[in-house]
Amino acid sequence: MEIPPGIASNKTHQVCRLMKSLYGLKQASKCWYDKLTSFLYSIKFTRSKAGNSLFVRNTEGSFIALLVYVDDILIAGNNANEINIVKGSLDAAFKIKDLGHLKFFPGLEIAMTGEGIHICQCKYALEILADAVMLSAEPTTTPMVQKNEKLFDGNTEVHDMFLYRRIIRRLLYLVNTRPYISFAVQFLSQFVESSTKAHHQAAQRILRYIKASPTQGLFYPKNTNLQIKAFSVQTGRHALQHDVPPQDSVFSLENP
Amino acid sequence: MISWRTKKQNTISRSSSEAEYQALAASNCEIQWLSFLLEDLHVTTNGVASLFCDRQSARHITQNNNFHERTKHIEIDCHVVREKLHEGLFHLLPISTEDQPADLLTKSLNREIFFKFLSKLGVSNIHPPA
Repeated sequence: MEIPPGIASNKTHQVCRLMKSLYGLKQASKCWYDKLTSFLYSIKFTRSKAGNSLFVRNTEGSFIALLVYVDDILIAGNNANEINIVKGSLDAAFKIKDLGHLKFFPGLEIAMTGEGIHICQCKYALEILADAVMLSAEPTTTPMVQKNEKLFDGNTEVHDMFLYRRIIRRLLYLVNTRPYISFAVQFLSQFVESSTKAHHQAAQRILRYIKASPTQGLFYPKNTNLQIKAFSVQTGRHALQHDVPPQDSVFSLENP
Repeated sequence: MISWRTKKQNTISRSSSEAEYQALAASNCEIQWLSFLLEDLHVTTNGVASLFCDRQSARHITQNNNFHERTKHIEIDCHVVREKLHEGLFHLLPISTEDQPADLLTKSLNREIFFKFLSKLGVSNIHPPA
């Protein structure tokens, strides 16, 4: 680090003492997190053991959950007054900007109605399609062909690896609201090192499937009667013709 | 639907039952995490979680504590399933392969089955095409 202009010093072997962290330092994110957590602790929040970015507070009849994504904070609770008090104290400490009801949180589009919450990635899906010049492609009904021998035909001719990687990388994030393309994307992502024309076509098929319904997402109905149902399955190599089988689990929290 | 994952198995299994058992262990960890999360969010669930597995032999390994020739090599961390089952974290239930919605995440399916599972998992479109 260089001495900032305006500070004259002719002594050598001096060091600067850092009074506060600056942007661009690798410690900056940790400093911010420490500062935020110590503030949240001071207003009686506790950190959830299920995730370091989730903070909860439970006081006489009011419950507030606070989710932190770098410097975006999401507040949920059952008492509007208490939420406003928390917002007020956050504003006093950090100068926050209130964006109102939740509509957009890292790339997820969220719509709230009286019946529940709907989450989708429509904008992101359309961006991927535009990026791959697939906006006018013909839609399909399933993300993957059931038996596609071409993916295993031993053809080693590499085909446009850069574009393939780019598509797969972006699709991986789309899986957040589209569990049903999870298998196809996971499977194709195994070939980013040696993608052939067949793999490229398979990736384009996923895009064509997305094209059919870019607004599709997940809906969480408003109800209180919940039960965790988990489904676990493992598929052998016969179904995949691949050395190591994928394993998988689905969790649904639903009305019994 | 709140959590899902398709993952290539990290280790090599010597039998398909063992592989299925490992998948159960992974699911078990997720259930544990979810119950921590729900506890912190003060959400009460209706009864104990249910874990559905379509492989009978994997369910048997979980129930049966015997030291068996074919299962003696299974890594100790997989037996967390057995431990948690006894602690009552979840119920391990059978399901027929045709009704296993997790198949959606492990194979490419034909159109009818694909749509059957989609509706089963509550996937919806708020702007259906006119």
